[in-house]
Amino acid sequence: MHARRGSTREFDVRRAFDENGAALLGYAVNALRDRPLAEDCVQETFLRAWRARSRFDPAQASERTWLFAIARNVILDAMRARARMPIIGDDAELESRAADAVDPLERLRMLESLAVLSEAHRTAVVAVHLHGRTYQELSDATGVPAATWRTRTFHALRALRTHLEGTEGSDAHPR
Amino acid sequence: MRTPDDRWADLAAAALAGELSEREAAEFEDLRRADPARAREFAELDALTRRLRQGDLTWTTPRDTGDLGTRIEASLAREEGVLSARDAAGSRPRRRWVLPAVAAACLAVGLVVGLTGPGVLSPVPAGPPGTLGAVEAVEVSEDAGGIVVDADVVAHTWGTEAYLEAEGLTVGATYELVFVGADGGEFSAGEILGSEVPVVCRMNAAVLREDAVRMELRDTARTVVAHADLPTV
Repeated sequence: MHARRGSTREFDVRRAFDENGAALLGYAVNALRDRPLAEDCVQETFLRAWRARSRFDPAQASERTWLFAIARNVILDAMRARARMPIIGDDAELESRAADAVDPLERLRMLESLAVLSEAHRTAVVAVHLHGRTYQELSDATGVPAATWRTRTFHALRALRTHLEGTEGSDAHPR
Repeated sequence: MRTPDDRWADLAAAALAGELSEREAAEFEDLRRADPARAREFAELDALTRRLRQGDLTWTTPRDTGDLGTRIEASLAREEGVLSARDAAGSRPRRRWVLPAVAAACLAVGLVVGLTGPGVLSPVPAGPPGTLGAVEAVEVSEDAGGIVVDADVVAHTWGTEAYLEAEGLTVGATYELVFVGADGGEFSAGEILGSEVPVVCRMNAAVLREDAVRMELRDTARTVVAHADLPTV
């Protein structure tokens, strides 16, 4: 399926999904921790993109950046809808939830930045900085030298920082 | 061949993970002090890793995307078809709720497409009233004041489906959607509750489209609050 847009390349949904679908699904699954809801969000993302395709300007952002920006809003909507659902629990549960509360926007920003990394870069950052594994443990598990994991992680963090700077500097809400 | 930048990356990554040996720590400090840009970069990456650790983050890579791509293609094809049919019929503008409802309805279409191979879309059903799978706009008349009801119907092999939106219904009150046959037989498509927000839903009745001549939305006293006479099939 193709749509015209103001550029040399049309918005081809199948191609766009093949190039970005897995990353978008990873983003949604990890943000929502609910696979069926995440799939609905990815589907809604492409629906919104399809409807807004005439407004997409590749001179301003890549197709991937555009799709992730749409997905961010879709996932936020889903999170807000879920937050309105009643939660069964006692006072201790509520206090615990309040204490553990993390700014959902901050969490989404970080997950989005992880989602757009290459698989190798994401593996490095997740293993070392989320799961606390050492470079030697990674090397033992994969056969890749620890020095390679070190430099890979450094470049992954650089890429992560660059993406965060891009999303935090943008006020765009393409819905 | 390793460059000075490679060595910096190696040492900085180890420092960020707290894995520098004593000798590496000295080398790292020398490099950092000698270059303000590197010192600044390290500080930024250090702050970033703290954000990662504080963000309640985990990451699980999904196994695969399954048939999601095919379902998305099918839903978009369906949406295009619905909009085209509306344009051709010159009917009133499509209400915004219908599009997601139609997209959701396309899950079944996606499964069929999946059997025929990825990227191959089923043709979008279209045609006169009673065409299987085609979305048929119906003219709804409101019989009660203060409400707005909009609807489409879809003929299926298993019965008739209604896409319904209703606003202004009494909050909390129960309403039933009923299809009426040519012989006066009644076929319930289910019940809804009035809400402060627009009610958007899909409902199904066990009556074939060609056997249904009327659709009614009734309250619990069986008073018709909105109805639509369905075109003859």
